[in-house]
Parts: sequence; C-alpha cells; structure tokens
Amino acid sequence: MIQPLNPKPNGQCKVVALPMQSSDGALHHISASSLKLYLGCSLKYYFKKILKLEEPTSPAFQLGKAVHAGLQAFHLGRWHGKSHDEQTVLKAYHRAFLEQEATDPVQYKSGEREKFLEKGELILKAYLDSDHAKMEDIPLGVEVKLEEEFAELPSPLLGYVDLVRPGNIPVDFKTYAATPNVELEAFQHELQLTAYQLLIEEATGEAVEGRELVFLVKTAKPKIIVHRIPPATEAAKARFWLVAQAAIDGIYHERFYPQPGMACSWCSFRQECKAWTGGVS
Amino acid sequence: MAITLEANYAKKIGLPNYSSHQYSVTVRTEVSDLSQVESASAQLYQQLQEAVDRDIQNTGFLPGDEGQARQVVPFNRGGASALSTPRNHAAPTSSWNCSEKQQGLIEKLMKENDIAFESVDELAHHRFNCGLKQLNKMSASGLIDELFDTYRKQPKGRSSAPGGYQGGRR
Repeated sequence: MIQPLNPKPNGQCKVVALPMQSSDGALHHISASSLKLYLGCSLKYYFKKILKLEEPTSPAFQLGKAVHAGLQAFHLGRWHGKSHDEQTVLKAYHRAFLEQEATDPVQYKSGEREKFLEKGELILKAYLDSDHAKMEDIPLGVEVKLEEEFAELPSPLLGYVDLVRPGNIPVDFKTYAATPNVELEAFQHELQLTAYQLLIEEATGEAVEGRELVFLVKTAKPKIIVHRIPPATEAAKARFWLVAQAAIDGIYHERFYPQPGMACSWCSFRQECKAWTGGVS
Repeated sequence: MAITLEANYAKKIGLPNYSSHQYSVTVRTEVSDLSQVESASAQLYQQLQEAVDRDIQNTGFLPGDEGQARQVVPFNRGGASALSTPRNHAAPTSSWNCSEKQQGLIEKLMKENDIAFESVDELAHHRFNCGLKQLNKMSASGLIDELFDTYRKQPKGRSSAPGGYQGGRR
C-alpha cells in the first residue's frame, strides 16, 4: 500500500498523493504536542512528523525558546543554590537566543530582531519581579524529561515539564503576544497538563495536587498571569486515554487528510495541502 | 531493659497483563541490649528475605485468568502486540526505587568520574531530602541531569538530555 519515496526534508518535494512515506517509526513515543498536532490537522502532522518537511521558524517561537532558557536558569539556580539573579537569567536568555540563531535562523524584518530581543528581556524582568518568581518552595524538578509506558497506549508517553513544584504540581510557562483568556487556554492545554500529571504520577507513585499555567504576556507593559487548576479527575484521565488512542490509531493506520479551518490561515503547508489528492490522480 | 526490634521485608514484582503483586513479612523480637541489634538485624533480614523470596513465587490469581482483566482499554492496532512486558514501579531485584536504566546510568557516571557513592547520596539528600536509593524516577531524572551538568558531558537543551528518565518496563 505504501510506497516509500524518501522525499528530501527540504520543503521542495512535491506531494502528489498520500501516503508517500510510511508512518513507521512515528510512534516510537508520543507527546501531548504530537497528539494535539494530529488532532488539529492530520495532514499537517503528516507533513511535519512523517515527511519532516521544514517549517520556517517564527520570531515568536525563537523568542519563546530563549525565554524558557532564562526561566530554566532561574529555577535551576534557585534549586541548586547557585546564582539566579537578573544578570544570570538574561545571560542564559541571550545565549539561548544566539544558539537558536546559529542553528535555526529566523528571517527578521529590519529592526525587528532588536525589538524581539528587548521584549524577551522585559518579559523576563517582569517575571523576576512577579510573585511567582518569589516563591519560596524548592522545585522538585526543572525541565524534567519523563517518558513512561502505559497499558492504555502502544507507545511510551513523553513529556518535558518546565517546573515541578511541591505537591508534584507541573508548571508550564507560555509566552503570549496578547492577554489570553485563561479559562480557554486551560481548556486548550488540558491534554498537555493531563499528560504531565499522568507522567508525574507514574514516575513518583504519588498524587499530583494541582496544575499550573504561567502566562508571560508580551504586552507593552509585560504581564505575568498565573492560573492554577485542580488535578485531572479519573474521568478527565479516561478522556485523555480515549483522545490519545484515537490519535494514535489514526497515525498507525495512516489516516492523513486535510482538515480546513481557521488554523489554515497561518499554516505553512498550504501549498502541499492543495496538492493533496488522496491518491486519486 | 528489653529492646524491641521490628523488621519488615517487602518485595513487589511485575507480572503479565500489566499487573504486579507484592508481599511483605514483619516480625517483632526483643534483644537484651543494644550491642545485639546489629547481628539480630542481619539475621532477621536474611530470614525475612528468604521467606519472602520463597513465597512470592506463588503468584496466585492473575488478571485475565478468568476474563477479569484490568479495567483499561488496551490499544488495538490490529494484531501487533505493543505491550508484552509487565509494568512495575519497583525493580524486582534492586533495592533502588528508580528504574534500572537510571540506576545503571548513575552507577556508570559514578564509576567514570570516580565519584563516591556517599557524595551522590549526599547530593540526593540535598536536592530531594532522601537517599540515592530512595529517589523516585522523576527525582532520579533531575539528579542525572545535574551529574551530567556537573561533569560537562551533556549538551544543553531538551533534545539532548540523556539524563531524562526514559521509562521502559523492567
């Protein structure tokens, strides 16, 4: 059924029919973001995860990664009793930004790079001034990689948790351009937060007492919004397994097809998507 | 004055169909003075371990034996047996609480960098308020990251974090 054509991962291959390449190997492990990607648009998942077509890195993505590096340096320093002042955090931020530029350059418009760099600095400074940064509890983990096998899934579940606070509370930092609707965001990130909870419970054998989203908003005057939600109930966990199983079943059986919607407006694979014929010439 | 000594030995092992079982034996005895505690403890440990190891081999009822499988929805991919090994929190032959992979990695790092067990144990106490062998998988992941970081063998970044816990059934 499947003809592996091994297209070059350079964004230049012509998609004439699907599947061009088998999904074998795509399920070595599964993350919440992969599940969400598949459920959002199975064809985008195919382009990104199976064909591994390149997608231009956005300035916002690059900034978000560098800000995460700064936050990681702060909490690691706090935890390990090492320097975690503003200078240390900004140094980690700049280093990550430059590393990103070297490995995955971003096309900035004139003067845009400096503006982004400054935005990142401002948001980190705002975080360091926030109550959240003044927490006295010592982390249980920073940037924790967890990978566990569950009977409910055929692939190990993988997750990176930005910060784990006492009570096994996973914290995820999100950078946003505008003030988010926190309830809506919590709903949209339910899959990710439940995955973290399941991973932490499995790795520690202990309960998770809550889940936390920290929004770093890049408005003119940066804002830090902390939104804590209760742990996922058994019903929510059951929902997670069902959703994950549906996505994995689709990937395993190679169900990849266009799912037109609002997200198409910022999707970088529209040309490839248009070329999709589903195997009918 | 008699001194009461209470000893408990517990073991948990993984079994097919994602189940596990555990067994523990507790005894309480008296010793006449503190000088006897060490030898009494060693003797009790050996006796209890032998007893638990002998008896735990009888696994009794297993889920699925009578159509009473665990209440999970197994993933059906049309014939492929994705899960064939048991899930288990505690390694059956190890007194470490983390995974065998993590234990192996920590021991390898200690050996390669000539780090004494006591040093890593102390670090575990500092970071996680428990001994090295008591670290759960999440804590062990953090400790491994720090060991890699300290000995400069791990490039920074998510994609290359070998210290991260990678599950796997044991």
